[in-house]
Amino acid sequence: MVKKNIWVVVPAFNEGKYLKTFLLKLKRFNPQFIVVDDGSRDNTISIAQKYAQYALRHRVNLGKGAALRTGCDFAFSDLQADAVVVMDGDDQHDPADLSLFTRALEAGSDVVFGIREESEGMPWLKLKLNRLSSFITSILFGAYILDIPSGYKAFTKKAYPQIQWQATNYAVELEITARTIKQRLPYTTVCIKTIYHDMNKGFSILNLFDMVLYLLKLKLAL
Amino acid sequence: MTLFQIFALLFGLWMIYVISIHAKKQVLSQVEFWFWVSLWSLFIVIALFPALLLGISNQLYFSRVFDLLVVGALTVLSIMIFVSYFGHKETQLKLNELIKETALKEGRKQIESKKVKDGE
Repeated sequence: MVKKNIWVVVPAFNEGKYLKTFLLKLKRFNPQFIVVDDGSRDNTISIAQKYAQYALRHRVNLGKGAALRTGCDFAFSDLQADAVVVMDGDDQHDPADLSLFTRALEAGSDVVFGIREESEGMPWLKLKLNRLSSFITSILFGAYILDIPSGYKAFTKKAYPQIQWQATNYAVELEITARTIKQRLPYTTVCIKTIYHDMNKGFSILNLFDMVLYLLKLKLAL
Repeated sequence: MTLFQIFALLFGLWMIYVISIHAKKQVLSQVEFWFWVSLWSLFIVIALFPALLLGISNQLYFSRVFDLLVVGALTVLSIMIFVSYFGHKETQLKLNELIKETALKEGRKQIESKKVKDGE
């Protein structure tokens, strides 16, 4: 196993409420992290500047996909990262699981998907929509990957140009998955714990149409 | 003159007024200004004298002038949507790039200041 230079990228939009708690936890497990404030109107940037090693800022809100791209570009080109782990800034992800990702990357996987455990209190509707996105993806791209909307992922510098996404919003999760399958990159999944603070976040029935449309668009484009 | 013609005339004049305001703000070039003024003037003329198109509609096998107008309007509308979609997309990409570059520049400054700190 080769020890890699791994950076954590945290996109954050109006996460003032939980960001400090999350970053303090994250610091204990990995001191190398970048926060990308995606045009927040609260105190997200001041928290990021205080606790993160690097705090980047989008002057205008562009969306999660754009924030991730800025963070990953910075990590790979300016900090010479070998791999990047992406985590949400709303304290939903447990930094204790980081070791699972680093181990999988060091074992040779190019992409690692964090999959939330079902018993963690995920709302029923979100769970069904979640499974539906996996099902549609498997039909269109030929591989069944659970919990596609999960924002806890990791990928290597080698994989990054091949999975580089165009989506600027939450569709980035779908696009990373679709591109990973399409490019036949070696991937693995790891089971992660999830803390639910805000039930209104994430996939909703309103996103269903967008999701299907976006997957069809990707199928034609890739 | 029918009620519809009066409405069309007022609407056309209103659109020419809107164009002149945009031209005063120097949003439009000379060519763009005259293109839009000609287009709306043509709209007024056709609304007032629809019989002018009778020859063209017969030649194109449209049973009514109205059908020709609908097809013409839809064509113009489709072109406008197509052009504005790509214009919007291009602006969006440029804006994304600009915001990303500003953020990255900020990050590079942080790297430099860390290097200076470590050197001290």
